[in-house]
Amino acid sequence: MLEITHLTKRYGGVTAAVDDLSLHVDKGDIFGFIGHNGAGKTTTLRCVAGILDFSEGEILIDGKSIKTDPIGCKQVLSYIPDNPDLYEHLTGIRYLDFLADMYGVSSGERNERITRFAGEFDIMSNLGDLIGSMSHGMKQKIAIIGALIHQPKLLLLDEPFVGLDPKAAHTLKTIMEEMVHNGSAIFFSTHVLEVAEKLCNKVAIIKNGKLMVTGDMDAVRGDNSLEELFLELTDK
Amino acid sequence: MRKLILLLKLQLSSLFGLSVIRSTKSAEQRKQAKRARTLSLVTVVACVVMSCFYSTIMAKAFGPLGLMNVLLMVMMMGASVIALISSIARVKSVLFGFGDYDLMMSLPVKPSTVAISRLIAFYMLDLLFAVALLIPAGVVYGTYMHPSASFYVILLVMTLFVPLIPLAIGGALGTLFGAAFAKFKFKNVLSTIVQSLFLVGIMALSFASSSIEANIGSFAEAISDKISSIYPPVTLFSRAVCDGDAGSMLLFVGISAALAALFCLMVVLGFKKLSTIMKAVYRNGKFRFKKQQGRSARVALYINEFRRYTSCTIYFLNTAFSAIIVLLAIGYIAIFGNSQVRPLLLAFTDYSQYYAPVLATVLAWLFCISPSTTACISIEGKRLWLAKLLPIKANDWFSGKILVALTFVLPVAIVASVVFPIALGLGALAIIEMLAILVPYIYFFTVLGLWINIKNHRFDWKNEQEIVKQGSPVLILMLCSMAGTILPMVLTFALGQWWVCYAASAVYLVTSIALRQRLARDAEILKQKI
Repeated sequence: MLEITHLTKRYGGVTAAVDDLSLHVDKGDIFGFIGHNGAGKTTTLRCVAGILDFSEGEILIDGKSIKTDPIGCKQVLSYIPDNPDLYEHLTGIRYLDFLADMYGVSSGERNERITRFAGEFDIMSNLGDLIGSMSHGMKQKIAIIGALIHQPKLLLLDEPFVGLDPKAAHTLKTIMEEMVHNGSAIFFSTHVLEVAEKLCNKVAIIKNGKLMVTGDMDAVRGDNSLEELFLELTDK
Repeated sequence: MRKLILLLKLQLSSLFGLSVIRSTKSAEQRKQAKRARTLSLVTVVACVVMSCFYSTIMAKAFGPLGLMNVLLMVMMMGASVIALISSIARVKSVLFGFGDYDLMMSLPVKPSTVAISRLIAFYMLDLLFAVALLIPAGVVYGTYMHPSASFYVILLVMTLFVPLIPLAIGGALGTLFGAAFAKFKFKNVLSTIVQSLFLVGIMALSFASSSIEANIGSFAEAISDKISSIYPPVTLFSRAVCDGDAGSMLLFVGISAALAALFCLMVVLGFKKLSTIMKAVYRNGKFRFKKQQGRSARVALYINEFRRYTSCTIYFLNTAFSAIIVLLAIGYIAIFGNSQVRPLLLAFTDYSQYYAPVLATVLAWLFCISPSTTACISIEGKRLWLAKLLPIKANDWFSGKILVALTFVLPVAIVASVVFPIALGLGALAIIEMLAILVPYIYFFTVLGLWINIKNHRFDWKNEQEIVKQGSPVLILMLCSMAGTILPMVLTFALGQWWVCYAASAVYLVTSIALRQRLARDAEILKQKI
């Protein structure tokens, strides 16, 4: 579903925020992407989402190149940043409608999905409010619903659980499991290693833009906890 | 005092990209910030040059009639109107509830110190306009009238006080509007509508019962009387500067200082409360889901862009203001055109072939001075990631922005092209002549504005004013449109050939089509580089 090959992203032509990164995410994977602050996680996610250009390498999404067929790739993916800056001049419902129009979601499908997800995230009554008036957590929920409205094959999330109340976090986990069960793939970054351990079947650890380790969770972790492994790798 | 200076330094460092130039490691960012700074300075210089230009024209017209004071009255009125309008629009973004309000207020600084720093920033922009208009006008006045050295001293001192009355009135009104609408859901749209109506009211007042005289002398006196009746401090200013009347000077300074002090006191004392009110959000929480209908991606893009445009008062007013003025002019001409303007035209029948092109070019200048496309990329701000994430064709994205820019302006331009010739008895051909100039001019500068903003953008703004009123693309386009409309007109009269304006229009038409096609061709690459 996602194939990253020798991805390198430089800023100012010199500093490599991501340096020769290669990994792949298959259908049905929940792939955890872990690293310290400034390691290159967000940069990687943004390159995959087509928001950032990159210097070298290739990114294939469902077999299509993000460079040569960006629209084809974006049609099947979704991205939720860690701090979603949404269109504050729109109400929640108008924002969701806008996204549904962008992705070509039919009226019937969007109505069904909005009703379902807004109900599960307990935000239906606030959909008529301006996004600018919402709290961080409410905006996060709107951003999540917006990302799910077109049933993406690849879901990219940057620190998705920050700002979510426990019930919403649980709802998101349930939705993620349902998505991968239906054949989608999820690639997300997190600092909360316990969540990564419980949720992810695959993991990659990045340090200073370089991939330290990647693979199946059990194989990568071995007998240690993910935290121990992470500390060991990042302290080197 | 030390903390006040620190706050002022902070605000100054974000102006003209100074902090970026000093601190960024990115050569590209530094280059862009330097370019923006240079362009801002160039534009200030250009405004001064334009002021000299218009002052010279007025001086040539009014000087021989002994009515040079009208020149300074007009410029002072212009500076005051600009200060009034900008003060109303900037209250929310500059004075109260500004972008880093929470950070400022969490620091160990008195709210009154923060308030004073904002008031100074509030005043500085209005002062800049006043200086750019009045000092060059004063120099032109001095060249013709050879006053004593005290004239210049008085002018300098008086210029410092010129923005104060409109600032106080505009600031008070802006505060009133902001506080009154704070609890409404669509407060920004409401504020936009009310402020637009207010401005229409001001303009209607100035048009009302005005008569346009058929000779320059009476015309100048009529202007002088009209300005004085609308804004009496103009008379005090004129007497103080032109006649050296100490009494008028003291009265003007006294009234200005008193009103400004009153306003400042209100701001300082009520800063926290007013900021809290202004930052209040409306949340109903009673939404009931109704079935949603789908739209095409292009229509959805246009609607979103339109909503963004109308949701920001300063963005809307700054760009649609010309269309509002022209709408008023249409109303005035439709009612009074035949009785009041036509006699003036009949006095110059030798130049009848110039009527339509000159009128169209003047209107074009008004429409083209600030299209919304000059800030349409920058205004994405932190939301740019959405535009880049969604499966939107870059060309469709650009098209939506161009269409929004044309939404208000083009219909008004078309109506003006029909009403003016009919009301002024210019004939049906004049309708086509005006359209032939207006439409290409408007389209060209709209597309050019987009190009400029694509190449020159900024996303780290804290309030929209930074990009809508102070952004370098806005300033560049203003310069280009001024030159691009005035030059053909100057050439028309210099060469004595009426067709020059149409030739310019044809050039703009061809160029705008080529520019648009190039934009369409390179859209994806351009969007990726943004």
